[in-house]
This record gives sequence, structure tokens and C-alpha cells, in this order.
Amino acid sequence: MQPKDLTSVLKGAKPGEWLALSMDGTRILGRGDTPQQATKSAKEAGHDKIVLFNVPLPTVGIAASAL
Amino acid sequence: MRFPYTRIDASLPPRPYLNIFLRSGFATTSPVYGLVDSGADYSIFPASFAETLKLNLADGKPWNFRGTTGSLQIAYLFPVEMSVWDADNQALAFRFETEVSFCDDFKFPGGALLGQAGFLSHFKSTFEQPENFFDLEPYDPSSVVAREVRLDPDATKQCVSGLVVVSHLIHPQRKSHALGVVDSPVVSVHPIRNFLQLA
Repeated sequence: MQPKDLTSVLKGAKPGEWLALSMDGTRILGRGDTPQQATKSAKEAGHDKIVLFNVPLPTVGIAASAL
Repeated sequence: MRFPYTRIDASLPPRPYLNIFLRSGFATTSPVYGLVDSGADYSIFPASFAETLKLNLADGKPWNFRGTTGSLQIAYLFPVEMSVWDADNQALAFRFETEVSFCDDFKFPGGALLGQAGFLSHFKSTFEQPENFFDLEPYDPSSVVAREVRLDPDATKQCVSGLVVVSHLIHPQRKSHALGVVDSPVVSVHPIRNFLQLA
């Protein structure tokens, strides 16, 4: 199965910021420093259906998270 | 139900993300990316999600944890309702009552962590990393959100607790009938036996 690919839409996004992505993950509909700001930004642009995403530092992987 | 992995960085392997949202009372969060993480004891969300749900962190059950940095962090556990979107984000796949934690200084790629107790405890899970997908099958079939709606005027009637029965629904896995109720912001589906218990 092909993985979903968010690399294009995340290109150039600022690490740490919250994005309001379209449900198919292909467009940025809003952004902000908090989930609430990103949601509000998308709603003000007329978009209700969003998925929030917090942008990580590029090329930084993760290991077991909460031990 | 099968979900594809998600690649967020071309230099890193794809990961098992889901799109989920939380509800507490009448408050609902926006959907957010959550990483399914078998190394996490509980699910963890940034504290701002607790604000949206009108939950006061001080009222939660404290839970200490250490991430890979080794620093001690504290999160607060609350009962919530969690909903999971399907692989295409076209419809809800699962909804269930559970417990998640919120943490003031929690930041994670994507947004949230979906851990062992309260998330994986609800599913039989299989990860096929070389094939870039994972499967989740709920232990409780009633957590599956029905999709096929067949309106039945005879079923439309006032129900106990002021809920309005809007239709019969066909449960997608058990092939049995369930009832849908108006339960903003989405139509909520409950097995008929729940209504019988209420009555």
C-alpha cells in the first residue's frame, strides 16, 4: 500500500506551528501558533473540514515516546 | 479496518498516523493527527485540547512520564469520547469512550500520541511496516460507526432522554440493526440494546 504523503504540503512549513490541513492532506487551509489559532484561521477562510497538524523539525526522527 | 502509513518527511520512514478528534460534554476538538505509539502508556494531547474541551487540568488524574529526553513531564488523565476517521477521511470509522491525558509542555510531530491504555486497549492491532499499512479491529463491535443509512419512517419517534431516533442503520460489520440519534455535531449510532437498557 502506498503511504499517504504529506511531504509536499509540509514543505516550507515553520517547525512548531500548527497547520489546518484539508481532509485529504493536500492543502494548507489555515495556520497558527496554537491549534485554536489554526482552526480559527481556516474557519475565517471558509473552511470547516480540517485536520490539525503540528509541524516537526525537519529530518528529526522519533524513538519510543513516553516510557 | 486498514489504514495506510503517512510520510511526513522524505528522509524518514512513514509512520502509523490516524486522524481523530475528542469530545467531552458538548465540546469537541478539531480533528488532529495522532501517532499510534505502542511505546506510550497512555494517549497524550497538548493541553490546548483540554482548553477546547473546557477541562481544567487540575481536575484530572496526574500521570508522570518520561520521553526519550529523560526529562520528567506530568500529564492529566480525563475521560473523553474519541472518534477516529477512516483511511480516506471521508467518514467516521470508530467512536468509543476512553481516557486520554493532556500535558502542558507536550509537543509532538503531528499533534498527539495514541498509546496503549485507552487506545490500543480498544483494538486488535496489526502493523505491516514493510507494506506501509496497519489494521485496527475493535474488541467492542459497538464502537464501529455505522455508515449505511436506511431511513425508516416507522422508526422515527421520540425516545427516552429526549433523543430522537432518526433511522435504522445497518451495522457494517455485524450486519445487524442499530439506531441513529441526533447528537450534534454528528449523528451518533448506538446498538439497539443500549436503547432497551435505557427504556
